[in-house]
Amino acid sequence: MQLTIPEFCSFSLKSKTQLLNKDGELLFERKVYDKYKVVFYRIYRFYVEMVIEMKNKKVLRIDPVINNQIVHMYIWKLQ
Amino acid sequence: MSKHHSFIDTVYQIACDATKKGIAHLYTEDASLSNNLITINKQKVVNFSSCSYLGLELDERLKAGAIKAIKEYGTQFSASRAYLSARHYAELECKLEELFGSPVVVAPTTTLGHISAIPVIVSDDDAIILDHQVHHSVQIAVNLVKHRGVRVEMIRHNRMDMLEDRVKKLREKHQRIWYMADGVYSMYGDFSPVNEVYELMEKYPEMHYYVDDAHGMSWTGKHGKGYALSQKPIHEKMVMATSFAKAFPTGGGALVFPNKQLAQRVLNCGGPMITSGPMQPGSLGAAIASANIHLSDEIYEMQQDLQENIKYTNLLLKKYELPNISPSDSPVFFIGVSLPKMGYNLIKRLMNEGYYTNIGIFPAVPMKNTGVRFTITRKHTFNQIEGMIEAMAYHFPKVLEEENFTEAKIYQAFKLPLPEEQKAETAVTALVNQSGMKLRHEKSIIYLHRKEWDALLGDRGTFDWNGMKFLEDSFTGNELPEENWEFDYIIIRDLTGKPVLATFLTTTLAKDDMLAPATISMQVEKMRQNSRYYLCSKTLCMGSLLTEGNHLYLDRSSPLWKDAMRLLFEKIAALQEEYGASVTNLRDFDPKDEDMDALLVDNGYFKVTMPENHLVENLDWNSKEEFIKKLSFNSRRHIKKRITRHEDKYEVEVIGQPANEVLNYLYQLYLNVKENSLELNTFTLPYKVFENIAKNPNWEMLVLKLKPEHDTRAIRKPVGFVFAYVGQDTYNPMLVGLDYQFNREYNCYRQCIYRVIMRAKELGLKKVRLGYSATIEKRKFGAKIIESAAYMQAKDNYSMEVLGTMNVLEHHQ
Ligand SMILES: Cc1ncc(COP(=O)(O)O)c(C=O)c1O
Repeated sequence: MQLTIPEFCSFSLKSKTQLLNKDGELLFERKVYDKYKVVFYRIYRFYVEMVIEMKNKKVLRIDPVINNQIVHMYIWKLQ
Repeated sequence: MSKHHSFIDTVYQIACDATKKGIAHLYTEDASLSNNLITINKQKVVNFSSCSYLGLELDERLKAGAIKAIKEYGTQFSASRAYLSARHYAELECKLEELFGSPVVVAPTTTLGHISAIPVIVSDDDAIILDHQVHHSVQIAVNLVKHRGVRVEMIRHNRMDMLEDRVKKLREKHQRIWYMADGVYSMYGDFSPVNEVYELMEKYPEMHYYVDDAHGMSWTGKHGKGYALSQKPIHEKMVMATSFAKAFPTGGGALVFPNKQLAQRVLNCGGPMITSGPMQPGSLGAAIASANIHLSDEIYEMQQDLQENIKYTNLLLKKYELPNISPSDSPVFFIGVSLPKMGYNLIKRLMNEGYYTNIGIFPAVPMKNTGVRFTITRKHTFNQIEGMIEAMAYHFPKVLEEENFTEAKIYQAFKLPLPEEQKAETAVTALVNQSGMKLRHEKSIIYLHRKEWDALLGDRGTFDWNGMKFLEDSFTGNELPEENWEFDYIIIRDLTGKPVLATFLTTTLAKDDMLAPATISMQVEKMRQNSRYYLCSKTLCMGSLLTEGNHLYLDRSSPLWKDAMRLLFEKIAALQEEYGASVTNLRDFDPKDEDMDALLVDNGYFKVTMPENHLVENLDWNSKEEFIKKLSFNSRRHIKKRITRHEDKYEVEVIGQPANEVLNYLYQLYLNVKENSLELNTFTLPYKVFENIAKNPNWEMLVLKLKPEHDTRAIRKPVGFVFAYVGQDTYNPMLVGLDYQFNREYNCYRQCIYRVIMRAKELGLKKVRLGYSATIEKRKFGAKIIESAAYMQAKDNYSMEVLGTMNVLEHHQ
């Protein structure tokens, strides 16, 4: 069942991770300064970025990407 | 008549039914458990029935705590707590005081906690107001004080306006009034409105609060102290009971008090505190470990994880548009399906899909409010939750279709706004189309063919075509609401036009205590002096209040008989809705008819034993001597002593058109009897009925007078009468009136019965229906007892439970 962006955002990090594993599709991964990993997912009808601290594999945040330019950038990279 | 026995029978039957259908009284088959998967009947299923909401039951620390305590003290420290308790108790109580922030008494179970506390904290001159849905274990304990004469009342669920009204009234006489409720209700998972209750406690010094927060424990509040105490700190006029058998989850329970004195009093004097065994060391050790977790910050993480699962569940239920009866952030969910058969069907299907849920059924909820009750724990994954809800959403419409039910009817049963406008009538149309049967529904007998009606139902008593016409004339166009009935005639035919089922229904305002013991009706009648229609409900009844016997023609040889019954149920549901009837009563069934019983119970009816009916058959004697000779020795002696000895003192007359003042006098005699017959508590019949009987050639008025030498009043008047309906071959005495001044000496009532039998013989009839009550008397005349059962359905069981709270022994208070 599809969730909306506000519904998705109402969950905790732990739950968002669970939702991504269950309903999301991993599209792209990139590293930032070798310190963070940013993972780009498509879930329901939107996209999210998951930021992971590489040292301890801790998920720092999971947020929808609502800026279309960023989305396009990712998609462009994918192609 | 034993109402309680019927209740037990119904509960037994429902339990057997659910067991037979493979959804109750099950066992797990796993050698050990490591998560929320269990094996039932060789099938792995996800457990959606656990009340261990935080999933702590498999926590290694709790297991280790239990093992350690067992190693230290063995499996039981077997002594009454009044003498000696294992040291673990002291440790646990100390931790619990920190957890709850108040004095605590630990009990072996919550139920025993209630039984310990309520009789001690409630004094004889206190009053108790129960919430309609308060847990049964509280009611058990309240029953103990009821027998001490404590006044017990009930209000509708969470109705604070009603609570305030009753408190205002009761405070005139009672110094303390206890409102007893659950913190979190175990069926619908909704809450006690704690803040509003506190406001009332502030407003009324007499008001106290006893709250059972078994299902609120651990998953909410600081240190997991539960729902009630998460809303407000404990009030000085409050006692809280909770359970360690749910989310805590170690077994045992606790009572939390506002001060040490009260706690000590319950510990010293509470029955089970002295006489019941203590909690076992294993449970105590696990409880200490659980308390440690509750006292750490880890509990908040667990609570948060559970909340996430609850939020996800609520979201999905909404998206899938399932009838979530009471959405809240508690871990208990209830999806309404209305009828038991729908509940069984849906739960079975979920089980086949790999999800184990519970049925929420009578007596935990009213019959028509059956549902799928499931719980969410911290251990469920989103995958499991979505899987289960998706399966439910998939099967829900299939169940509706299979059982010929509509979603609209479910919402109506739960008094919830309809998601979309659907009429119950559509279900009737659907069923008719499907089976090819034809349903004829008329609102008056005049539209039905007299010959056919009489052929189907004419020989059963007073409801042949003429009898129905008489009833319609008498109970329409009157002033008072209870004197105006709705009449509905139903005939269902198969494709060839042959009737499979025929009956009539009446809808009228009736007293909810109609079948309750007379002592209870007495109490209710007292309340009715201020409020005429107190505990009265619009009741849809098979037959009517003024007809007796089996009112249902059903061709059991037809392969369609069950379908015809289902169609009748649908029609009844539609009528119920049209008239706003809150009770339906289908009566005069054979109590041993198992097929019918199963059909009725599956369709949301519960069985109630009816008062015994009496029939005198074989009027094949030729003289009264011969009649008496056929009776048993005891009866012969009785008849000689009480009846034939007085026979010559009477003049009996069958009168045609009596003068107005005579009819008026007979009405007075009827009122005498009416006042004395609270066993079957009905509204008084209007005088118009008497006028119509006088005009109707099918009715006879048998009037008994005493001869002048025995009735020395200036003007001799009747001392008794019987109005009887003369059927095809039956004599049906329906109304009796007596002058009690003469009854004792001249046995007028018995004389009436005797004369009725003689009159029936004189008319060449074959049977006499002597009606309900007075079994001993009627058996003396050779009457056969006809046992019958009624099946009831109530939109909610509030009235019945209010009556249940009344004390059978209490006469006048
Ligand atoms: C609200 C409530 N109170 C009390 C109890 C009974 O608890 P115990 O088994 O500890 O007696 C239950 C059990 O289900 C319950 O739900």
